[in-house]
Amino acid sequence: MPRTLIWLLLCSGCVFGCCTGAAAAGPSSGSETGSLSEAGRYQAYAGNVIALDRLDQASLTVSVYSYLGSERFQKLVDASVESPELCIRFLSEKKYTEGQRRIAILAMYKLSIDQYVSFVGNLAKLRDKALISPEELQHALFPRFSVDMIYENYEDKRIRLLLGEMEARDDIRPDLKSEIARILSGEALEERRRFYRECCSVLH
Amino acid sequence: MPDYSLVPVDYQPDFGGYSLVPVDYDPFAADGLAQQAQIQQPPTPAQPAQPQPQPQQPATGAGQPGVTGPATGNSPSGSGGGAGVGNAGIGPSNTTWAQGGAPAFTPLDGYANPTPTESLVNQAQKEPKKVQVDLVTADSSADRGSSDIHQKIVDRASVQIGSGDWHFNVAKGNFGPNKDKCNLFVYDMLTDAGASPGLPNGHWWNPYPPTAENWADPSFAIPGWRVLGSGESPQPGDVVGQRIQWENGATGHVMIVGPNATFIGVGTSEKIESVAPKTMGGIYPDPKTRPGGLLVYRRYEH
Repeated sequence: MPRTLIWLLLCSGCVFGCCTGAAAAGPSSGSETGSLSEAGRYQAYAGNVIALDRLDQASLTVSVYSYLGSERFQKLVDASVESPELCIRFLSEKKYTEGQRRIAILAMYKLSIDQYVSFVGNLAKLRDKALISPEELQHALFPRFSVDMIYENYEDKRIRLLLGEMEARDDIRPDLKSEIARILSGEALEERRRFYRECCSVLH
Repeated sequence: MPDYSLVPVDYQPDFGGYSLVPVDYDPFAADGLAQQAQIQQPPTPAQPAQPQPQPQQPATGAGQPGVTGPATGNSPSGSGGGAGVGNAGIGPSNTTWAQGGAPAFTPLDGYANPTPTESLVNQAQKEPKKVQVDLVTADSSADRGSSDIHQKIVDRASVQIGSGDWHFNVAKGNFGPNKDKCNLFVYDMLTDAGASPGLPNGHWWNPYPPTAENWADPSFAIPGWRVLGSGESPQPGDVVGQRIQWENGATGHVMIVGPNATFIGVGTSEKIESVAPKTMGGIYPDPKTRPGGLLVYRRYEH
């Protein structure tokens, strides 16, 4: 009996150890925060968002595109790709400012399609709990720096399923619902391509 | 906005080796600005934040400091409009930029350095009521017709501060949702003020306004809008453009020069903002990686 008990304790210790090890080791690949614990990684992430927001205001950035060239922002982007759940957790906490939350969403622009679909799905759940605003959900749905990805992949089943779910929601603006319908039909991509051909060139 | 000070006191961006303003000096860096800001003159009696009909202030002419400032009018490319000779408007010593405690700017090759005590964004947001005061004084040197237009431009733009009508994911005009609209905002304000830059792009049946890149290209002719020459200083109502090639295809940014050394246009929040002049390219610790070309200013002259 004591031997069985010891064995059980050892096993549970192994399992626990493996879990924590996985949690710690998961993000370590290619990340400077890799050696940090889950909590530490989140704190580092949140700290980066806050610092970026401060830097933004201190340096008087005048265009949203300014973030793209910021090394600190790119670190945030990398962390977001590596662990999208960091942003989800960040947004689920009410203590952060609107500007900080906006930066966190902006940094999600390099997600894969799978990551993007999962991220927006999770944000819809946060929205259902009133933890994020409708605008934040819409900004996540149409990522500022990579929105073309949605238009160009409108035939992808994952994208179509997500857009269909979003279109059915009550908290998506009517004009964006119309845009979703146009995306799903392929019309929006065609129009978008025409826009970029014509908006910036003298054609007449 | 957060309710805490966000300016790291020791933050000193490195802007070495960059010159964003194709004119000889930074109009926002006049020595007088700092002095005026420190004096903290009491604000001019209550001026409404909303635009008002332009008061009939007499032009002060020679008595107005700075109105006869340098105006060589040498456009960088020799094109883009008129010769640029004449009253350049506000000179380095003109205090109109500093009224109401405008922030102290440090000339750094065309960049303005934030004061170490407070975000200039915050300061700009605290100063909306100074708009009319500065405009009235600032336009005293120019002919009334053009000045009226310039003031109208600033008036129209100032009214829109905080508006989300030109937000990225909002449709406006023939710009659908999820499209950049910084140039559309500028076009709308100019057109509303009677200084339309025209619709040079697209087809005649579906035309588009000048892009930010167009505004920033001195060789791109925009009817009525000449490129400021060397030695000329920007005034409220001018347009500033910068070419920046971003990875997603965006080509630059364009805004309207506002009063108190501000730019008005689509800001980082995607709403219309009034911000202090700064690198349009944004936050780049390493100058080698900082994208963006020169700031090119244009002025309406009909």
